[in-house]
Amino acid sequence: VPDKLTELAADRGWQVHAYHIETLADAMAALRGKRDGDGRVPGIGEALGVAEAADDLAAAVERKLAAIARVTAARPRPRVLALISQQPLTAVGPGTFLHEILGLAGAENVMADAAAPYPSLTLEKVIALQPDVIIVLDMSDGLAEWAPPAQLASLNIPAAQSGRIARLSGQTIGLPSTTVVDTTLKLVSLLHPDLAKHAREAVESAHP
Amino acid sequence: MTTPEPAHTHRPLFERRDLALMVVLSVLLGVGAMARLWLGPVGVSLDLQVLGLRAHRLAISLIAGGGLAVAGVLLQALLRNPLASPYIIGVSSGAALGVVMGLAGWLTFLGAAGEPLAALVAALATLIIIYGLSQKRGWIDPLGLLLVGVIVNAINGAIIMFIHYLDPLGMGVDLNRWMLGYIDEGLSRWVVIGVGATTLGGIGLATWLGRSIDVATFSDAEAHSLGLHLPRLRLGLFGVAGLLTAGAVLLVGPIGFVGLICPHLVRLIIGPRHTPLILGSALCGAALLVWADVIIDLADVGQGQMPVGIVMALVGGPVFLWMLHSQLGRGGAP
Repeated sequence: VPDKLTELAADRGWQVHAYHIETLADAMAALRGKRDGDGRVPGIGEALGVAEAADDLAAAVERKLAAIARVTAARPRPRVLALISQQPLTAVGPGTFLHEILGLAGAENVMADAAAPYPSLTLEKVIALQPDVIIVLDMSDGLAEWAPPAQLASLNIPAAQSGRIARLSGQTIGLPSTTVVDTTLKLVSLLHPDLAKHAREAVESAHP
Repeated sequence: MTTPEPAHTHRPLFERRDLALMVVLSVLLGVGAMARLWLGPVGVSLDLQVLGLRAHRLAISLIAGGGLAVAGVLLQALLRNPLASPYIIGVSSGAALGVVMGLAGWLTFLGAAGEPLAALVAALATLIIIYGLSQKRGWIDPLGLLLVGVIVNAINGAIIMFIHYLDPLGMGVDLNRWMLGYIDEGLSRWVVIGVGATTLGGIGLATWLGRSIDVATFSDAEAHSLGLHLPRLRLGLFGVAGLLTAGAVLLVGPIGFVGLICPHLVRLIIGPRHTPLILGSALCGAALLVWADVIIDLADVGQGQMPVGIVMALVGGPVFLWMLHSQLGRGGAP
């Protein structure tokens, strides 16, 4: 938090809390609050005076995600390359909420061993990874016509040979928020279409 | 006052030293090209497709490196300023502005030609603005030109960021990484072939005009007295410099130092005659970018593919400082 903002907040009596959110656990901690060193960072709910509702919301998100994970658990996991940018090719790596929800949706992230959360790739590296499925995460409005990127579709990889290069579109898919449940359901629809209905029902039944 | 050397003497186009340097640069380029074709990530077997991908990257490096280096030679000669380069005076950011307008979807009415055309027009417009603002009655103030270039560069950068600000998610490109300069493997081979042919043509034309460019580096009066039509030459070569820069930016984004370092390195060794200087710089630029791409593959720091612009700045910046330092106090440019 910038010092000036802290000073201004102290003068005006505002509360300032900073949340670093990369993983699902970070997102839930932001809702509930957490211990940080000697002190405690209050959650968003607590800061807004709705701590109990925020706890319930976080618990509901966790229950729904767990329900989806149970549905997909028994299925073989396709090796998935998820891209957040095609120019340059930039993938979802470990230590991110997108990596986690790929796992919950029944995928094995081919970039799980990468050293960076969002590493960039060459096409040669994509060939070396041999993904079964490529998912292009499109965080624009998604209204434009879409076709599998030509440079990926022509590679000697299982994803291109089986035509499993797909786009997941929506402005909220990049948000580590309560919207992760919807994003995970969309991933299940892409990766295990026959489980999509089952996963939606599991989510509804997990609702209190 | 010294008498300038006549434009058309019987001096050979290439001296032994020129040819020796070109052989050395060709060997460096050849070894770099071989390294580029044979080296790659662990776990990839070298089949025809992989070789094709590496050849595609190699072609992009060759074309962009050669084009930027020659654009640097032309700008330094035409603007009579040793610090002029496409990157420093804002021609690269002008071309980048054109490309970004295309990436933002503003030029769809132009079809596939939108980005290349916009890159060229914006690069040329930038050159015209810089030239127009930094000259008075045909005389260019070298320091004024640099300052105008730096300001125009900043304005181009601001417009690019404004376009990104308007639609940060809709560009289909990681603009921050693109602006650092990287070899775009996703470019269609026809774009690469088209830019390659244009670059080759531009370098050929510049080489053919090498002796006229030698004369253009004298004062306007001297150049006129030697029968040179300066306005026509400047117009033509500005066009070529804009074309080469736009092509390079289309392929690798706005990378710096190639157009600054290579002409100076080659000039240090073979002197200022433009015919060998242009060819030597083209080879030097191509070799520099090819080796930068090899380094990117070898220097994996765990963050994925490093933008080539970072390598160029890390290598090119210190080399230029060294050259600048070695020339300080001699009353001349590097």
